[in-house]
Order: sequence, then structure tokens, then C-alpha cells
Amino acid sequence: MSEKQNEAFLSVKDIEVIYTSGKKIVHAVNGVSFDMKRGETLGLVGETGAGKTTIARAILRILPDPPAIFKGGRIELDGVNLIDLTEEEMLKIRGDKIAMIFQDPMTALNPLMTVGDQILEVLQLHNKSESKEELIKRAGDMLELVNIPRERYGEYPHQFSGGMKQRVVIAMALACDPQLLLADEPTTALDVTIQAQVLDLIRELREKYQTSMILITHDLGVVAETCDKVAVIYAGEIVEYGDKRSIYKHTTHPYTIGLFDSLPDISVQANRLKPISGMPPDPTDLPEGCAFSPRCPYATEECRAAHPQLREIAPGHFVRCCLRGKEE
Amino acid sequence: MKKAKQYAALIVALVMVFTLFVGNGTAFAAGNVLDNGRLEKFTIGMANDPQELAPWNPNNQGKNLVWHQIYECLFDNDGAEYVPILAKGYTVVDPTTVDVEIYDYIQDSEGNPVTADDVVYSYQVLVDSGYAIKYGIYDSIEKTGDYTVRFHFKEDPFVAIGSLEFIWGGTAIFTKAAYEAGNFAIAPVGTGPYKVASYQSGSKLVLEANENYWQTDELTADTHKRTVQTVEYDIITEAASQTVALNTGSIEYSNSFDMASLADFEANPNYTVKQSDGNFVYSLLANCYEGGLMANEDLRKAVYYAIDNTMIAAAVTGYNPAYGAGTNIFADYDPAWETEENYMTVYDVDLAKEYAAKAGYNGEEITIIAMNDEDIKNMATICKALLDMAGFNVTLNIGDLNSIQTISNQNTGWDLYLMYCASGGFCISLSQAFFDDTINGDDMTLGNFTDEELRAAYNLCNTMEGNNKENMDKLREIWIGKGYLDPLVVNVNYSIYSNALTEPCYDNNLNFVPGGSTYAGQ
Amino acid sequence: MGRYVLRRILMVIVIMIAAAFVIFTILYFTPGDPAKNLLGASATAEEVENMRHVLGLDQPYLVQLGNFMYNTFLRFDLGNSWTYSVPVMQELGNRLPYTVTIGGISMILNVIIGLLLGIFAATHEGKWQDSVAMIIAMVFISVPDFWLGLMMIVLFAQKLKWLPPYGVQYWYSFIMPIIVSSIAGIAVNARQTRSSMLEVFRSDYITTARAKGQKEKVVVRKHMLPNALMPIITSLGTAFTSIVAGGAVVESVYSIPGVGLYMLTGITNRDYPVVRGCVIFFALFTSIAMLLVDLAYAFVDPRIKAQYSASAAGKRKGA
Repeated sequence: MSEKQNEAFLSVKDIEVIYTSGKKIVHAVNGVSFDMKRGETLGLVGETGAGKTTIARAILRILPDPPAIFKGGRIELDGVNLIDLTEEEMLKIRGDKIAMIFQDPMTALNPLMTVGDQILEVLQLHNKSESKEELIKRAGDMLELVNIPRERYGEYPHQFSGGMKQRVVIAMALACDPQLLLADEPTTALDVTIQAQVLDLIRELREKYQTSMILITHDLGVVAETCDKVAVIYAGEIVEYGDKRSIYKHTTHPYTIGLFDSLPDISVQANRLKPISGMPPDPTDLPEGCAFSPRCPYATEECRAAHPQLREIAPGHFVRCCLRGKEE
Repeated sequence: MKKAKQYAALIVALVMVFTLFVGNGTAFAAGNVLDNGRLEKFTIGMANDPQELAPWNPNNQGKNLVWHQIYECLFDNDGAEYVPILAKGYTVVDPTTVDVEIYDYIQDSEGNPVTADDVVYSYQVLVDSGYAIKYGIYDSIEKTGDYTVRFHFKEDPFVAIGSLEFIWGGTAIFTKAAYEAGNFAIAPVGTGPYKVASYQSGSKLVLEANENYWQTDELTADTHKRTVQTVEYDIITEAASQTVALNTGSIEYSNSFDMASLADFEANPNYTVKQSDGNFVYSLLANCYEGGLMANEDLRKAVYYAIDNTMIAAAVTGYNPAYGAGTNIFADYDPAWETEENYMTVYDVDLAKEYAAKAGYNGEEITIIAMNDEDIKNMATICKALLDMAGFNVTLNIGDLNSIQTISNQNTGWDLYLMYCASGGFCISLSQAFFDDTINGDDMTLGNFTDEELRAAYNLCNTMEGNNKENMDKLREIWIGKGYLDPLVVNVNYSIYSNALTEPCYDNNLNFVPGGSTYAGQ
Repeated sequence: MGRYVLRRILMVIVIMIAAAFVIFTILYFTPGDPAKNLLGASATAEEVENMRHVLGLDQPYLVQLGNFMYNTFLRFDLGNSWTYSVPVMQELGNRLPYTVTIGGISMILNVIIGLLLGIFAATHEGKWQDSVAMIIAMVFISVPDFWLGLMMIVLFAQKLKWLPPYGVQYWYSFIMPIIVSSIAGIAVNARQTRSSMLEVFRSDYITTARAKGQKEKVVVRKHMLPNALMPIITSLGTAFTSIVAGGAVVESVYSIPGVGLYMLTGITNRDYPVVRGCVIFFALFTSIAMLLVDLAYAFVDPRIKAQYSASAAGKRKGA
């Protein structure tokens, strides 16, 4: 939070998103803020339902409109607050400045369009002055870039395997050379060997094009490989934030510690896994004090009463905890 | 919002332009009388599709309406008389041989002359087609001269009533030349006062006055005149639609309309509503087959006394209670029947229960079968309701005509048949369906009984000589005494027509004859 | 793919033969005497028997069946109607244009209005536009066509005198029958479109398309609609067949000489050639409609096209 405004390329401040479901209100994202520099990779880590995907969709402003309501906050990209933009202006940003890769490659592509045409679509949307032939060639180039022969331009998604489909999605996302790439669990649906391939590909292209990336995942191993900074999300808030080294070597927040502890370690002889006891809180009925307090082994009365703020415990390392947040 | 207003204005404008083109529908045009004295055009609503226009006898109401205008027979039926039309007259040679001479200047609507050869040909075609009905006494016909033929019969044709009804009055005469050249089913060529100008089955039939009509004006019978130039029959099967058509003036004559609007038409000075007694009798026929419920005379009477004819007639509009197996338009109908006391005129539930007890009725199921015509269905429902009230256990079996006819032809499976009969001139002809045991092929009447006494009485009444009040009363005594059938109601014919028509003309079968009627301006 | 089409066409022939056999047998066993129906109540039993002989009804089942199949499939002669005395083929030819006009145009209306209404409802899901559209659909599908037909005649023909109350004389005689025929279809299509659109709505590839910066209208048109089309095509298939089969009520109310009434009167009159002819014709029409629907599937969805080609090829290889 001490980063100066003019150095930050993406600045997210206090965003709040709720979902209305019947009479209940689901508090999905409760005041998340972070900054990113150009070329950086930020990992958003957390359990399912913590609010990670919602944050990503909020940035792109593609939250499903009837249930989801964006309650407040600023999202500044290169100084421009995306929240203030009209829909028309936002259309220009999507796919061009910010692109997204989705979780399930099997359903992310339109089954009735050729893969080439789907890449062509995003090119045509943001390169109105170029000719169609030129753009078709570029789409073919993108296919080659992700190691798919350009002859397969006219084939349909069902003719590709899961890993190849995801590569097509990546090609689509990077076609217009975006400044920010939002990758929502891009490898979760793939098996491990393909996972490695896809991650390598992403890293290669990132280095080549200097794209910033927010990588959403619940896999700490993937985070270790690809991310510069890490933000741990719990119940719609960031509970721990810092660079990779700090998080991995100086894990502070009890939740983060619990996450690392629960990773199975082959070298250790263990009979049982060590999960974090309890369940994530009901987002329609969040606890008054610290959201993690019901499950925290160190919780005190103070934790349950007061809602802790994010505090810097070391340069660039922030923690939201009543107890640990005070330590040095 | 501005765009919405623009669209609305455009739509309104389009609608207005549209109505300009469509016009006001057909206004009620007064009849236009032509120079030749004929009305230019008259449009009639027809409730049944005539289907085909071949020369054999019609078995549907639609064809019935037009058949006699297109074709002519040797004679017309008029009660028990045979009125010569194509024939000049007949000569009895011996009891089973009759000579007939036809006019020598007859031609069909295309100008082909009709000779004795054509007469013989017409009869042959009919017999070969399989459509010859009531031809029981017909044996053969032969040519005896250019314009004379000789009929051979199996019995004396002038004894029984109406035995030549179809042979002489219902066999169309046409030329061999025309029949072989064309297709009479859609484009018939007859000798009648009208010819078919166009026919689209299910839609429209247009008749034009036959300019080649062969007979001279003085000799032409009333029902063979041509007082209208063009007659158009619009086939409209829905009564409600015919009512609307009448209202808008699309048709000028209708006898099949929505009874509920009768009062409106009666009050409207642009229309005339004509009411006349019909020739249909609706009765409950009992199945007297041995072993059946209705084989028991007491049970039959029990059922009849439990039914109130007056109530049925009142509930179903357009009917009057029946007092005998016939209506009051027939020659042998006796008004004295209306004041007689019997199960037709008496409604007595207690008496019914007495009879039921005597019969030993124990709540067995009585099945009434009936056709699924709207009015018949209603009559059947009322019968059931009345019988239920009197403690009988009744089931209704309603089906389409063919299914019901099949059931009624069987010996079992039904107890009472709510059926209707119509006929031309005599009650006794109408009763044939009930009392003639020779037509069904099993020596039993339709109601499955064989009664010597009844048969003798019926045969006697069925002759010209024997048809008098005394014998008819005796016949009644028998069948009412034994309760073979219970006539319920008779129909009333209603027709509504525009003021263009001043004097409607009807034939022997109560069909409207446009060419014989008189119109405004004539 | 060509092999697939060929196989389907062969199946059409098989279906027609099977339909002919079934309808013939059903009619054979249906109670009711066509001969008696033709001659009327005045005919004696002898005369009725004679007519049965003329009609060929006194021959044994197999002989009649054989004659019928031979005439129909080898000489393409559906026989003469017993009540109309006109060849069935000819009469069908005369009546078909009316039925197809009404049915065809109302199907086109179904598609266009139903689709638009459904898309409108789906894109405004949950809001008042959705409720209004669905209420309209519900009203349309609940209104009995007989009642609606008569009411329209009373309003437009009698009171307003804008349209003729019956018949086929002018081109605008067809307006009311077409509207009445299409009402129910519009409702069905609207609801069907709405639900398949909503299903597609939640699909991931829609989010992908939006994330690319595609305009909402184009997303609906280019991404949602083609994917939502499959169940719609199915319901169109059934609508297609009801063009010929379902017209009897409208034809009766408006006095339109169409095929629906023809078959209905054929059944009531036990006019076997007519009923048989109509059923065989319907079988042909329906199978061709189904074939077109299946081909439409293949055209819209390449996965299905692949499936067809595979099955047509595979059967030959594997067998």
C-alpha cells in the first residue's frame, strides 16, 4: 500500500460486490485493495467461494447483472477508473487491454464456431482498420504461437483435446496483446502433464509480451512457480499479501499457515491429512469480528469482537490479524 | 418514445389504407331482376358438402338440395302420385308390365337429344353401379320404340305405397353420349332446369340456368322452373358461421343456423323467418331380441312412461312432441292421435315403476345407443336423466353414425336405439324402418322382433287401397299395445331468408327449390 | 453425409409402406359399413350386400391388402374416393394448396414472432418485459382455436365488416384462418425459445464472448441464438407436420376446402380410400419433415454432422 500511485499500473481500491439471491444478500467481496506494476504476476489464492473469480470479473465488469451488484470501489488502469467508463468504452477495453482466460476449456469455446473464427472475432473487434485477410493471417499466427498448426483454423472445438482447447483460449486472450491478463484457474481442469505445458506457455508469452497477470488459483504449487506477488483471500477479503518470498518463508496469518500445513508431503510419514477445521463462513451471514475467528486455533475474544484491518508487518508484507498483525 | 409514436401512426395509417381495399364486405344488395325476368343471383348456405354429383340417389343433405335441379326423372313423387316429367304418362299393360312414353324433344344441358336408348342406358348404369336402392320390384327395362320403353316388374307396382318412389321418381335420366364423355361426379350433365357452372367440393357449388332446357314454359312443373339465373351454394358447415354469413349478407338463405339468434332475425325487418313442420321423427326403438332386457313388454312400457316427450321437445329447440310414427305433413297422419292417451302423451313415473316392478326389473343396466349429432345427444341425455329419476340404471353409448349403425345391426349390445327417420309422403313409408322385417336380411325388424299380426297390419297399410284411418288405427293399436317403439319428437324446419325472396318453393322432400320460387321485383 | 441422406430416404419408403399396412388393417377392423353409409337407411340388406361386392369389401383380407399395396406403391394409384367419386390423388392435389398456404404461412409467423418474443423475454429475464411476454404466450396457448375463430368472424366480418366471414375467394379470406392457426404455435415457440436461450445464457462461452469485448446484441445473435436453435428446430419439426394434420378445426369454421376436413369426413363416412390416401400422404410428409429437421441439425451443429457421417460410414465398415 505504500506504492506510489503513478508507479502502479493497476490499482484496485476497496471494491465491494454483493449478490442478491431472493431476500438474502451474499457478501462476495468485502473491501479488497491491491496494486500491480507492469509485467508483474499477482497470485490470488483461496478456497472455492472465497471471491477470487468475482474480483476478476469485477475488474472486467462482466459480473452477471441481475444477481451481482457492484457496490463500490475504484479500479484504475493506467490512471483511468474503469468504473466510470460507459459500456461502449468498456467494450474497447475488454479483449484489448484486459483479457481473461477461463477455468473450463471444455465449455469456454462456442461449439458452433471454428476455433480460427473465434480468434478472428476478438481481432476484428479491436482492429477495425485492418482487412479481414490480414486478420485471418494473424489468427493463424496466434495458433502457431500456442503450438497448434495453422491448418487447423477451420476445425471445431470438439475436434480438440482439453489441453489444446485451453491453448486456443490462451491464443484468443493474447491475440490483441493485452496489458493485463486475468487467468481464472487456467489449469485446474487439466491433468498434471498438460498443466505443466500450459503454464510454460503462459510464462513464455508473458515474458515475450511483458503482460501483467493476475493468476487465480487454489494450488500453492502453481503460485510458487509463476507468481511474483501473492494475495490470500478469505471470505471476500485479503488476509495476507506480499511477495512470494514473504508468504512462503514468513507465513504469518493463521489461515495461510493452515493452507500450507494441509498440503500433503510425500516425504513425511503421515496417517491423516491436516485440514483446517471448520467450514468457510456463510457469506450471507458473516461473523462480526474477524472472519476467520471461528476456525482460528489462536482466536481470542478481541478477534471475535473487532474486525481487524490490513497491517504492514514487514516491508511489502501485509496481514489482517488482531494478534499477528501487531508482531514484527 | 418518439419512435413508438411514429410506429403507432404508421400502423394506423396502414390499417386505414387496408380497409379501403377490403371494402365493406358484402352489403345487403337487393335482388337484381334481369331482362329475361329472372333474378340475377341468389346465394344459399349449404350445411353439408354434396361431395359428388353423380346421377345416383343422394344420401347426404347437401346433394339432396341440388340433385333435383340438375337431373330429372321420368316422374316426380308427389305423395303417392307419380307426376310425369320426362314421361308423358304411363300405360299399364298387365299387372307387372308398364309402358312409358317420353317426350320426343328432350335434350340434356349440352344439347344432346334424349331417346329411349338413353333411358335404358340410365337404368343400366344405375343398377350396375350398386347404388340402386329400393329397387326390389324392378326386373328389367326394354326399348319398345324411339321414345317408348317397357318396364317389367316382379309384382304389381301400384299396390304397395311408394314402391316406384325410387324406380320412377329417383332415377336420373341422362344421355349415353354425355356420360361416357365426361365425369359426372364433378361436372354432371342432366336434363334439369339448372346445370353446374362450377363445383369446388367443400367450398362452393354454382348453378346456372340451363339455356337448353327442353320443356316449354306452359308444361314446365313448378319445381322445374328457372326464376333465378345463377344460384350459388356456399358450403358452410358451422351453424354459427352461417349465422354470421347471413348477417353480413354473404348468403341470403339459410336453414342451418344458430338457433339462439332466431329471435334477433325475427325482429329484423330485412329478414323473413319461416317455420314449417318437418318430416323427421325421432324415436326410441326397443331391442326385442330374445334374452335382452327389452324383450319384456312391461319393461318397455315402463321406460316409455318414464319419459316426457313434451319436456324433450321444449328443452331442445326446434322440435315438437311426437304422437305417432310420422309428422303432420304426411297424408296418412291423423290429428286425433294427438289427444289419445298412451305412453307418448302420458308421463307418469309411478305407472312406470309399476310396470318395472311387474317386469321384475332389478336395476340392470339399460344401454341407449345414439348418434353423436348435437340435438340427438341432448335428447339422449334428457332421456337418461328422466330415466335415472325414475329409478332406472341407464348408460348412454354415443358414437358416430357408422359405429352406431353397426351396433344396431347386431342382436345384442344395445337395448334402446334413439334413431331418426324421414320420408317423403306417408307415415307408413317412414315406419318401414321400424316394422318392415324384409329389409334387414334376417327376417326380423330392426328392433329384432317378428310379429305376424304386426306384419299383416303393416303390409295392409302399405298399400294404396289399404291405407285408411281404420287400418292405420289398427296398426297403431298393435305397436303401441306391444310397445315396440316410442316416438319422442318431430322436427320443425326453420329457414331464414332475405327480403329478396318473397315466395319460397319446396319440393316433395321439403328441399328448397330456388328456381321455383318468386323474388322481389318479379 | 451423402450416404446418411440416402439411408434416410430409404427409410422414408419403409415408413410409408408400414403406415399403409397399419392403416389398412385398422380400417379393416373398424366397425362401420361403408356400403350402408353410401346407400343410406332406405336400402335393403340385399342392396347393401351388393354394394359391398361392388366396393370389393367382400373379398378376404389378404386379397384386399394385396390389391391395395399393389395399386398404391406400384401404380401410384390411391384409388377413387367412394363418397366423392374422384381419385384421391386428384382431390388431395386440389385441396393441398389451401392447407399448405394456411399452414405454411402460419408456421413462418410462428417462427418469426415466436422467436422474437422468446428472445425478448429471455434477454429481459426477471423483469416486467419477461412477465408480459410469458403472459401473452400463456393466453395464446390457452385460447381454444374454435372459439377464437368464431369470435374473430363475429368481430371482423360481422361487426367491422373488414374481412369475409368464410371461404377462399379473396387473398384476404386467408388472414383470419392463418392468425387462428398460428396462435398456439407462437406461444409454444416463444416459450421454447426463451428456455433454450436462458440455458445458453449461462454458458461459459457467452462469458468468453463478452470478455472479448463483443457487444451484447451481437453476442445474442452470433453466440446465443445458434446454440439455442437446436430445441427450436425440434419444435419446428412438429409444427411442420401439424401444417397438414391439424387444420380440421380452422377449415371447418372458415369453410376452407382443405386436407384436414377431407380426412375427417373420410373417417366419419368410412371412406376407406380417402383415409388411407390421407394417412399415407401424412406419413410421407412427416418423414420428409423429420428428415429436413435432422438435416437442419447437421447444418447448424457440426458435432451432429460428424455423428451422422460416422454412423453412416461406421455401419458399413463394422457390419
